Amino acid sequence: VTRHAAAVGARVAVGAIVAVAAVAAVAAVVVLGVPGHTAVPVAVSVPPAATGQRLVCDGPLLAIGRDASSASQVTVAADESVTTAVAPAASSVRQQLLSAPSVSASGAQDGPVLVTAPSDNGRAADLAAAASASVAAPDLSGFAASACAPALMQSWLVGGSSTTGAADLVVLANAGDVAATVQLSVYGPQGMQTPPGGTNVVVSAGTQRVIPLAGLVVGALSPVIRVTSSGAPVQASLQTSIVRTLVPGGVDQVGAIAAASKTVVIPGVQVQQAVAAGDAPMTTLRLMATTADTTATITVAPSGTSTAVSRQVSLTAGTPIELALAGLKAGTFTVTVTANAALVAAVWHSTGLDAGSDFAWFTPAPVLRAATAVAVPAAASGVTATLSVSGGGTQQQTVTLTPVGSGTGSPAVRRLTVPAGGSVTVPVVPGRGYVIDPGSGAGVRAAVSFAGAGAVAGFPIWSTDAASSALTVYP
Amino acid sequence: MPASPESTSTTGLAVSTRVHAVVVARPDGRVPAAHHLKTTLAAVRAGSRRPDRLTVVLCGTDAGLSAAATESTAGTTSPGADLPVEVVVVARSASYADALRLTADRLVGDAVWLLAQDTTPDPDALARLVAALDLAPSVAFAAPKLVDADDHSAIVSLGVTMTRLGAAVGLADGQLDQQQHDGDDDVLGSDIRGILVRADAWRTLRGIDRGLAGADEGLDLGVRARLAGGRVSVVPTAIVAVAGDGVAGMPAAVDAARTRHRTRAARRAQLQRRLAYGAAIAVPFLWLAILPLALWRTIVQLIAKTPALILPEWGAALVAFVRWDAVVRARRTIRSSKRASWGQLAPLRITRAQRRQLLEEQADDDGPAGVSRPELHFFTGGGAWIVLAALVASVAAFPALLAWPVLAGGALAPLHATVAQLWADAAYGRPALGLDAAIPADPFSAVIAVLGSVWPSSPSRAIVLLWLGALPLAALGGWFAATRLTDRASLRNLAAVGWALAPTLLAALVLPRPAAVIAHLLLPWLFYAGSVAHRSWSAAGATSLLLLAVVACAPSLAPALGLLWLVALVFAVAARRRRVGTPRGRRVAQLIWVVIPTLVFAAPLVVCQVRTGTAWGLLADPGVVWAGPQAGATGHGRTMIAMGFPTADPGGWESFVHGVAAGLVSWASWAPILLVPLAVLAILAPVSRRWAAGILLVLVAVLGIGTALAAVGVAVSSTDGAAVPLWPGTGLSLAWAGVLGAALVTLDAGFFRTGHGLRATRRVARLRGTAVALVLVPLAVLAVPALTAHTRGDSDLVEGAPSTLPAYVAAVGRNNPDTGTLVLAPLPDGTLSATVVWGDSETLGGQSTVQATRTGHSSTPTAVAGAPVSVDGRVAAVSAALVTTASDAGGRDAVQQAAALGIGYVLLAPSDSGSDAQDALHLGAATVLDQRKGLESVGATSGGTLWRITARVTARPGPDERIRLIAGWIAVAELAVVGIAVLLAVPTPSSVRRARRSSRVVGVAPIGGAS
Repeated sequence: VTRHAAAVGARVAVGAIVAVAAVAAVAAVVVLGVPGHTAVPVAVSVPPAATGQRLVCDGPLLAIGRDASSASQVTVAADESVTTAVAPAASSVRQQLLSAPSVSASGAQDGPVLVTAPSDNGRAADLAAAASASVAAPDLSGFAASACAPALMQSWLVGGSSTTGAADLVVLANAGDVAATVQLSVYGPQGMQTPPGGTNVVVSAGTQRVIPLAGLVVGALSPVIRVTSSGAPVQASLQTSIVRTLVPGGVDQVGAIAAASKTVVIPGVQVQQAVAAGDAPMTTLRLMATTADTTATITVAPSGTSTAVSRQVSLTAGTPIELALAGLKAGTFTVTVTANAALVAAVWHSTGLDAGSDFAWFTPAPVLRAATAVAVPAAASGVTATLSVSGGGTQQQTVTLTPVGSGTGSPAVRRLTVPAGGSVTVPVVPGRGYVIDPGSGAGVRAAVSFAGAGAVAGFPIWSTDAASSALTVYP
Repeated sequence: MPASPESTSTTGLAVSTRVHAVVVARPDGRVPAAHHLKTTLAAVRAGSRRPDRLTVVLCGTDAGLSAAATESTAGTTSPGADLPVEVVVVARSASYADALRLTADRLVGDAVWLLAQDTTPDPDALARLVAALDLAPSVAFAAPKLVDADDHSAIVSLGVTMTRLGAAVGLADGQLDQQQHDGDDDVLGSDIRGILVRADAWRTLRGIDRGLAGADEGLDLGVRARLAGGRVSVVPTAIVAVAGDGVAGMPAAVDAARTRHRTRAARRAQLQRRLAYGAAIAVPFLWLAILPLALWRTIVQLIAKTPALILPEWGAALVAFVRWDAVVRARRTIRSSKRASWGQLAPLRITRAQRRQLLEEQADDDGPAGVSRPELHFFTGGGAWIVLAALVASVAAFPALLAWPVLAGGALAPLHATVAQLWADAAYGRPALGLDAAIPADPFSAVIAVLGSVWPSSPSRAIVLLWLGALPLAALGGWFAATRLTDRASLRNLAAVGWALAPTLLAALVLPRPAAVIAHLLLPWLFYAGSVAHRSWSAAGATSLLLLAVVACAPSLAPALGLLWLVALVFAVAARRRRVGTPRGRRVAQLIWVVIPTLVFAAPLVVCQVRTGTAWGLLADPGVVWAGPQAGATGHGRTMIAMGFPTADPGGWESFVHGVAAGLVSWASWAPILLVPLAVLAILAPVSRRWAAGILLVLVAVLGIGTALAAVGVAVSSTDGAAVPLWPGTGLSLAWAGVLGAALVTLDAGFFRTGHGLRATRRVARLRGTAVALVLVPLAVLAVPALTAHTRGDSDLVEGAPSTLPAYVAAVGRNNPDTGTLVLAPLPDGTLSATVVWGDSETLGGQSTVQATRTGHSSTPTAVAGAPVSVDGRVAAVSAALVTTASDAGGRDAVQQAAALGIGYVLLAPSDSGSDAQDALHLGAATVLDQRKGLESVGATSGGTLWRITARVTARPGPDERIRLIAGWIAVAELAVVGIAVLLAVPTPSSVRRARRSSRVVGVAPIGGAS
């Protein structure tokens, strides 16, 4: 019996020790953790290859229906004047014309200009080009300026309308080697529509195609158009003009927006004083959430000051709305729209309703993080050009503006101090090229705008591919 | 020459035959040699008929033997001391045949009696042998009945014959002597020991064939005697006792070394006889067949669970292969003496039927069973019904799977469309992904190949079957594993249900992880076979295969399983001296074999990973790398793992409660409390009456939990640029085995010896029943969210397409497995994932941990012009060039570069995260790819946008000579090791009989005291 008892005692003691040790070991590991090992996945950074740049300009100003025998015939109303800026300055820049089979031209130009700069010794050229045109005809008058842009697979056009008197044209250019098939989706009050005229629009290689907006959608006062291409990317733009009871109200070429974004910044919005007494300049903001319903915060800030006005508006996905930005004094403004969902927006400003008025669409500017070429197109005397630089982030940044190319001899390098979240403007010379270097910081956004008597225009500065950073590939 | 003494033979026949007895003795370094010689000589002298002359041949000089031999001459007290003894000393290495040959010229008399040191004749043995010779002049030699020196009722040999193919068969070897053979006379041959040979026949036949290596000498002599026209007679009444340790005949198979010697000698003799007897024209073919036959006999020995005899087989075969001289000599001897035809021997050969009968007689006396093994009671105990119920539950939980041909989601991927491709993935060589020329395949690919071969026409369906069969198979495995722990039906059923409802299995099913599911299904069988691996080769073979499969599915279990194996090995080595039940050394050999297939399969991977400095990568989970939900290396995550849940959401309760009553979500984290009864029972196992088993199982549980806890801190595989931690679920499967087993031990053994009364038994049964219910009901409740997840739409398991690539490429790739598709996937952070997929689809078996665990960040300064050394760099450079270079010159280069690598298609995966950076990269890539001249857009599919390279695509380079050589050797080694394991594992009637003699339950004897 004693031996049994001793054996049982030993068994219980050993067993209890093991059990307690097991629980304690697990508890200790749970509390303290185990030293681990995390591998660094194989990754290869590939610097961007030196590539040639290809930019397509919007083309000459077009007029539709001038020929009474062919109401839908599009004719050239005014040739465009292209200015290029390239860095380094020694890089060779070629300009060639794309053909526009559907446009009848009286002069030399019927299609847009394709500006190319091949890569030089493995280094990509930093190329910018912009075009301007001015017209004063009974059916079309005003000043238009736009940047030449790379072709895109998908882009947004915000602007224009199909109301009476509007003669808006969607211009699609394909500078590639293969034909592009384009789908135009029109967003109106009823949401997205795919009109038959905008379905499977074939743009042959090396050509430009013009499609009247009136044929795509009827009665949409404030449409937004999504351009989706397959086969080859296209450069899309919108030429918008209006005639109000025989009085031409202005013309503009509206560049495309590359992608919807949650933060939209439109710098360089030029607000002018009324040309004639009793006439009132108008500024409106058109915006649309692309994917999801959201509430957008709109901030309008005049350049150089920090007195911003903001308001909120709720957006329904796919339904564009238009807001009047009333009470703006003459000057340069930066309009910022932020939301929790991606959206597209543009600001329309008209100098008035009377004869001699002009209007312009200002589209959002992307962030520039590296030195970027800026081309300021030529303009008639009396029209001044301004570069607006809007800073992001929380710290002020110093931006350098260097003139490039031939022209005036003295290279006047300008240094601009851009306050955090604010914007500054600097006058630039039409017909000149510059390089804007945002330095090291959160990056800036910039736009060129024109203002003069009966002339208003503007376009944002796009970053070039040369500025893109290395691509990390996980093989 | 002394005069022949007066016969005292009881036969009363006049004896004129003069007998020369030759006793060959060899000192084998052991005491019995001299002792045996003395006994033998004394017995010879004491015989009723004494030989006329006695020659003692000593192989080597030995004081003891010499003394024993000379003492016999000097001895005066013993009867027959006057018999003159002649002592001859020959070389120590001389065999029995050599020794006899060396004494041939000394032979005098009419007959020679062949004796050795350990052959003790009965007093009238010689008289009866002589009588047999005298009776029939045609008899060339007469053989006695050899009996065991220790047990005279056991026949050692009484006549030997052979089959039609020449295999020697003892007619009565090992039988109990009941005088059942005493009527026999004519035999083909006999054992060499104790035979009395006519001197003239002895000279004609030139003695014993020295090429026989000690076996079948008497049979061969008999055959030759019969060919020479003589007869061989067996004299069952003449009895000679043999000890089986002398120079003549075969040694008794008392230990492993002698068993090996017997095998080698017998095989050598059989081959020698075959070459000697065969027709001259057949000899070259017989000779060529020696080595292939050795291979065949290797397989036979493996099936017979006697792998120790393989080396002796080969030794004999190699000797026979090179010893031409012995064959020539033997054939010459036969030719010179042959007078009869081979046909005359035929009636004396044993027929197939007779041999089978003989074997059956021998098999019958396997000895009494040590332990009576009870019936399995799989059906009556309820196991079958639980498996059936699990199948029903499985179908109810995954009803859609009945219609799905392919599963997808999580770590699942389709399988190749053909079985050949499945197996190609399992071999060393060109991988199914990436540009590597050759990498070692994961052993998991072989597991998948085996699985896919189940449904050859559509291998992907095998995965569907696996998912549907997971619950019933887990129940089946759990039930059988429990038979190693308990004989009680209720507890086995508890194990079956417990294993099927393990939270880790359910998690692996809902968050599809095929490797973890397979590992969980195999673990109980590993336990079932592994716990008895030390008992038999059959179990060891099965264990080795199961261990291979489990480690292939879950390499992270290798450290824990290796530790358990070491513990088992230490116990086997320690127990070696004490236990005599199992042959010594075999337990250790069996345990060592258990790990060998795993080591062979892991070796190429180990070499590869160690060479590239990524030894951690050996732990990587095989299959598709998936950054799915799992418990992290945080306090909460570790707590969940310690409680048995591999995910942060215990058993899916949080999402379940969220869907049912969102307000009660905070209560969901209390779900682990349902496991408390099981945990309590498990932790009490070390103090139960079967405390040894309890401690071991708790150790298993701790090891499993430790493995799981360590696993979440180890991230070696990466996908989409992020390292993914190991899945802790496989470690938890091991832990679950330990916990469930420990609980079973507690419930089976209890803590105190119970009374024997009916009332006490009933009370204990009631208590046990309550405990089982207390464990089972919470387990079932705990499983509800996981089992309903699929029908609630809360599972990652979805129906898949037969290919991960667009149908266009899949169709091309099915016909040409070398179709390369570069899959480019923009990632949310604006980076790009690039994979080259060969063939029709990315597959489950085509994954490689070697590729998934590559490390290192590098930069390629010359993306297009340069040729980066590493395959990763090449893929990256081509991918980047394809999606970023827009100009024509560079663009064509990129496409040509891709075509030069064998890439025929480029697939751009869709951008779906809504991230701007991903969208931008996707748009940019699509833009650039669309512009390329060498690319033709095939169209947009659900899997992305596809382009075809229109330029001439260079064929994918095939494996070079060196790779093919390495692949061949690896394949041979792996097939050989698996083949051996399978042959060992295959049950035979005798292995089953042997297994029945041991208890099904392991470690049942309560070693500790019980009150």
